[in-house]
Amino acid sequence: MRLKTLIISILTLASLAGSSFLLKSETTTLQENRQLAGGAATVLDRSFSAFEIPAEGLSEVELAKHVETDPLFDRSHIPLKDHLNAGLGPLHNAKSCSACHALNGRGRPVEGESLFRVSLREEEGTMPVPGIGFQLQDRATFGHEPEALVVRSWVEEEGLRKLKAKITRPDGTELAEEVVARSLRIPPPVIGMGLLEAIPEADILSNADPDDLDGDGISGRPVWNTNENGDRHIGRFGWKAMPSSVLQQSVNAYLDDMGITTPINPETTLADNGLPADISWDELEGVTYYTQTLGVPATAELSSSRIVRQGVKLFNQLECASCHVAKQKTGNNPDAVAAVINNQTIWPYTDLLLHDMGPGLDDGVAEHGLSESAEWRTPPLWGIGLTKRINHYVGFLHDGRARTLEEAILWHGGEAESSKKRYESLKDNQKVQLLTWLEQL
Amino acid sequence: MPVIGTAAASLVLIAGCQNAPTASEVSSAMVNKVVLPSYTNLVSASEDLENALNDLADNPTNRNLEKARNKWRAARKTWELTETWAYGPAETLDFDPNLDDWPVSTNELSSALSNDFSEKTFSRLDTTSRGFHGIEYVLFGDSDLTAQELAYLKIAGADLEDNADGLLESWSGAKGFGVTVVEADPAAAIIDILAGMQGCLEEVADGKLGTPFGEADEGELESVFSGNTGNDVVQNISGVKLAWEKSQLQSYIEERNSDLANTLTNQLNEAVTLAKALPSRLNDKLSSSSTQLQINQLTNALREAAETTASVARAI
Repeated sequence: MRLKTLIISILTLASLAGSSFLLKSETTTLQENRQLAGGAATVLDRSFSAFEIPAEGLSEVELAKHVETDPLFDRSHIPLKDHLNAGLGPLHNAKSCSACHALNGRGRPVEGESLFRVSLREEEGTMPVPGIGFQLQDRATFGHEPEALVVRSWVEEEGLRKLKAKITRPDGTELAEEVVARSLRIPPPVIGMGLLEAIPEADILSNADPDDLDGDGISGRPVWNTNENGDRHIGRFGWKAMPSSVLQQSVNAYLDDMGITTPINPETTLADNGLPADISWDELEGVTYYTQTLGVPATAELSSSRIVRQGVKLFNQLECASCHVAKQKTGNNPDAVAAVINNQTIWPYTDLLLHDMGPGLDDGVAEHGLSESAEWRTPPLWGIGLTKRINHYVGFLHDGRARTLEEAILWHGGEAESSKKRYESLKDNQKVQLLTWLEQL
Repeated sequence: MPVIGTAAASLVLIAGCQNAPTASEVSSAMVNKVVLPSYTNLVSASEDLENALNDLADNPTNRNLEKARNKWRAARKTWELTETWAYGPAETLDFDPNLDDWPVSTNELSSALSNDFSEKTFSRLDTTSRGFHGIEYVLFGDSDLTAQELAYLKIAGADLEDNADGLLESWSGAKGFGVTVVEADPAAAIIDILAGMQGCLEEVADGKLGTPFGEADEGELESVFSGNTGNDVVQNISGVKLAWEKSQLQSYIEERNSDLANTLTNQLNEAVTLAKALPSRLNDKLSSSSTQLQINQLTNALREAAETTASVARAI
């Protein structure tokens, strides 16, 4: 049934674009159709709300649950009186998921929509800042003091801009840049997270080459997390690929970003501090389900279009695809929250691995020592062309420094230095071709 | 099913049939005849509210209290009308939470109001203690207002007016969102208007009414302190209708698929009629079976209208 729907969708996609394109070989085309970025979960919508659309192909029950859990993502949390520090905060960065992920897309690099990770510069950025930790909570509920206040300014350097952040503790002490490293993080889009979660670990590892044994200058390193049972899993989400699952990402965001504790398992209402958790397991699981079952928008152009052919050719020539791995396949998990997540060929343009991105993007913070300060997860590119449509005021890269996609390319260094240089040596019309292709993702 | 947001480009080419507006005319009308007038009205009503709150703070009589409450209701009306086009700067530049966050953080607000209240105190309150609902919580609470509450109302009124101003400014002029984004891409504008309409219809059906009536939880109802929920809903749906009609999108679609356009027009009219028949103080009626019946009829009508809106988007 789903396959039938998909084929109808593709045929309509072809016809709407005024093309005489028809499916030549259904099986091959389904697997190679870059336009269906999320496979059968692709949503045929490129409006401002494209990132808010539930995955195509959800069953009636799954869709009903998605709709029911949707408001949890928007819920503004407030301090409660149930127990000490119940509800929001007291220290936090934002009061709801959607406060940062506006319309489920990127957020602006401003207070209340983004946050700072910090560390001492000693020990290569692996040491937390005393009294703060690795994440600076710059907001507090009424009657409490935030950990610090940050004044943000942008400094222009050769056509690019870089953040300057002045961090001051409530007692007026300034945290010197030479002592405390700071890394601004804007929220990334939350589309297709269930699909990324479903990529088999073996597939991720097949792209890893931590010691660059093939000598191509590109390594790719997985982040390994060990859970309370001693099981190891690859980190996949966030700018540093720390959490392995959407559930873990949700737990971290509640606690670190909103100061909201969550139950340690479905059988208890207690958090790991022994106190009643600020939200129920149902709410935690609900937010997780909502994000897992969001779709991914179809690209604007047909796979066979000239724009796509030219763009893909350049993307491969520049070796961008060495890290931004175009195609992935999801596994077959009988416990998947939605059947449509399984067995999909998807086009996220990521390997979910860490790469050294060079000194320009090295802001000195090494995230609990699990990553080096210059290492960043290859961010998915699906939906990137809709970024400004969804939020006109946001930028790219981890701190939103890049105002355009071209600026983002020009910030690439380290393992991506040669790709950037190849981009710089392109003719103007080729640059336009590549950027036009990116804009239709 | 077409990819919504790309297909309208082809419509731009075929638009311009005899009496039907072009896509450019629709996007221009949306900016200049719908959004900007609505935000101008919001600014004006916010100024009136600010003045009334100042009068109340200076002279806290029952007459001034009633006047301020009426000005709150009037300003609220202008704001709730705009929900359909909240997708621009209202959503992405935080004007929406600054003006209309919910629920009210009553613990924080009560704590803040327990001592001398100043601009500095106000600056330490989050948006859940400001805006329409923060003001509503204080203004429609105990009529014997304290000095701290009066000081709060004065500051919160000015803050609300500042945000209304900022929102209007963000859409206005040659560098505003209206010209640089909406009018710059008429095909995208049409798709976004439809997405905004659909989103508002679903939000009212599933969120504003569906959740509180599904769970019989008064706390989930907006504008509960003033008993204004019913009026909010009427304005929300009227805003959808306004966007549909006054942007000329209705005529634009009618030219291409009159059945679909007429269906949507009729469904929106029916939804407005059903909403107007609701009691304004919905929080008193959560367990009323007759109100529940009205709510069911309205939410069904809203969902049908949302589905038709989606069909319109797919059809173009």
